Amino acid sequence: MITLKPGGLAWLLRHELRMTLRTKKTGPWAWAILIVGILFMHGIGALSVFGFSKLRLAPENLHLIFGGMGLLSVAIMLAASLQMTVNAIYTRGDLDLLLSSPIRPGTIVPVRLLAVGLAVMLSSLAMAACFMNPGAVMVSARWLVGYVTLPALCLLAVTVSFLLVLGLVKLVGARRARTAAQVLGGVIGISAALAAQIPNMNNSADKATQAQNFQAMAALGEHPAMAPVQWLGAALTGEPLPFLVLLLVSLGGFTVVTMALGPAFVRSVNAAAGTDSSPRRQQADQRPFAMRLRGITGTVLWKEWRLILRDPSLLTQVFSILLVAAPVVLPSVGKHISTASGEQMAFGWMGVVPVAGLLAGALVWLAFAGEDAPDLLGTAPVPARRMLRDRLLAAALPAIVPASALCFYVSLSTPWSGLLLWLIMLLSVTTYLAMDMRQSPVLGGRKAFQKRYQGNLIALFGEMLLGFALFGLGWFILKFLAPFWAVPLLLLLNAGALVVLLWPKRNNA
Amino acid sequence: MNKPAPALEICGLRKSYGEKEAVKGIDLTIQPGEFYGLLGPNGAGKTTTLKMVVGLLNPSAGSIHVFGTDTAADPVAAKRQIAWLPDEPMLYDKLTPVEYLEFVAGLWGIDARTATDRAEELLTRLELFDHRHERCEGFSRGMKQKAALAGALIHDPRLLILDEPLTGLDAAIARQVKDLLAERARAGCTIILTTHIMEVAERLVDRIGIIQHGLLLAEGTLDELRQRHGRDGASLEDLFLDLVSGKAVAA
Repeated sequence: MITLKPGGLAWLLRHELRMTLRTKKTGPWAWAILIVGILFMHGIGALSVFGFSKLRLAPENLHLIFGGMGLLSVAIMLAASLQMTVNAIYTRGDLDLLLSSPIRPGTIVPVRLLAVGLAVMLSSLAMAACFMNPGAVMVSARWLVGYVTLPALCLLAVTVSFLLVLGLVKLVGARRARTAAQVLGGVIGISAALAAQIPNMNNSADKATQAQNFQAMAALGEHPAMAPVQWLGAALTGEPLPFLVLLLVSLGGFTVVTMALGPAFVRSVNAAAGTDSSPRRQQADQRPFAMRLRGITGTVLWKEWRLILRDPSLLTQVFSILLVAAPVVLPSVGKHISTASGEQMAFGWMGVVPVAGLLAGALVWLAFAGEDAPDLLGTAPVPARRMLRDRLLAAALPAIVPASALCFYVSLSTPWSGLLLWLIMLLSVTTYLAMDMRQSPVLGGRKAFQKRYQGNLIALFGEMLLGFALFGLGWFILKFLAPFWAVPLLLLLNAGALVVLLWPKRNNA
Repeated sequence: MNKPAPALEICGLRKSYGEKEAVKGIDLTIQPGEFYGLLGPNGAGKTTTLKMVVGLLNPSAGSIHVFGTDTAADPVAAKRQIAWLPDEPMLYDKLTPVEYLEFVAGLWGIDARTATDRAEELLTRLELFDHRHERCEGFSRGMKQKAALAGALIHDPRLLILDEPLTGLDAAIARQVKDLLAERARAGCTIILTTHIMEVAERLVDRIGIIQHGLLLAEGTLDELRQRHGRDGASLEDLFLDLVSGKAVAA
């Protein structure tokens, strides 16, 4: 057995890894979802690589494409690591214990950030592997260099996010820095996701247009401003010198920044302490109060909505939804679908299906995993099924109401499509509710909530797969099933999903 | 004239977690208006027993009746009469005390007028009135426990069950809580309290039950326990330690 020096970097890193790995309990269904998700994504990866290999690009164009992909990856990793770095500072966990120990901040900070990096890297590698592995088999083993360059990019993203968070704490203060970082992370992530979909939005079956697009790209590659992107692409494809420079910059930058700014991190942590609480009023509050009681359902809805709106993670959740939904929805923008009922519906409206489901799923997670007083709900004189129904309603309504309004708008021009879209959207909301509710631990509390998307590949894959599946199901029904068959089928599916959803979740015995 | 139903009647109560039996057959009857202290070392089965009473756990065997209502047959009617206050306050950090009390009152179906009056009275009595519009996240542990106690009392329960309610409270707040409990007991509320602080049990409760390894070891008033175990004049702490260590024998 290897004995590590207590208090050293390796020793602390082992502790951090042990804590990260032990907090995840994964059942056989979750593994099944993960495996199916990985295989599905490998399938998509193989198709993309096959198409890509037929292009026969010149090296400079290849570097430009890989450089662009690298930039987008860094942006997405930066968005994720910004949120995780903020959580590392504000959620604290065992940080107080570590900081009160004789271990130097110069050891604690790199290890804490390496843990952030690992979580981001695992998600990114899991996605990238779906393209790199088929690439290595179908094109060249050189694709495997991504297993080195991607972690290097990840380390770079973590370093930049660390600098950004510290800068924000300094600039706008600890109380506002959290929200500012979440918004910044969201904006970067969404921008990256949107940018990544631009080629998909412009794609065309017309060969002449395709050729024009490639010519435009080739012309862009010759622009001097694109040199750094090409250089990054060269590094990512394993060109020796750029590759070495990338490794040196990422490793060296991370080491220097985390070692040098350890004390600044400690100051930020100290400043963040207590910012979770609203400031206490200095003077006695003389405002009178009168309680407004709205029946049990109204009471539960009001409580859940109040808490959801006040949850600091709400913003992150909304941005995450857009991040997951973007690759599903954006390729359909600007296209039309000829439905089996003989209508022409704008394909983009299908976006309402995954987005409403993802939103409901995020809100139900907030309501269930973030529940601070499950025992209070358990001891209340309300039947368990009704309590469950009301809490699910609280998560579902904010998604269903605007989505229904959109479906109604669609139905004004294409009545059958609007109705079918509405039924598919309801099915999406119900299935996401069922999935996310069952994922949440019984007594998870805030800690469990923070774990979401922090290396939780299964949740991410599960949500993306479900998004694709519902989107595909919706397309199939609209395209091939006449309303005479589609409406009863969807009603049946919705009823089944409702039964699954409202079935007693767990037995406390 | 019919004798009123006991506030709590437990018969042959058992609870198992797989192989492990946490509660091994408890029989207990508590009369209305009694202040009952349930004592026992850590892991004795106190909290498990009480969680079964309040409906948070399903018993493996046995029955529980609250004021004559079978908790298995009609859990909602039974819960309507009970309030549960654990050592960790069941609070929402992002709600203010007023919003929290409004939520609890709504769950228990109290009308708005009564809820407002009771909330005002409780918040004033527990010295939280000036903080009624502040979110609980900024409260000290004592203030949180007081807000949770206000939540437990807002629906005027007939049976109040408190699991270590004084843990971590400073002397002044502990006194406020004890005074309020004594006041409720005098007003006819049945109270069951678990505590590790023997002085509190000695001063507040009418009858004591000592539980260990999931079994009720001894039960009665302090004098009855002293007499039964031949320890006249012994403090509750001495008696408790002798009982759980097996030194005390029935006289």
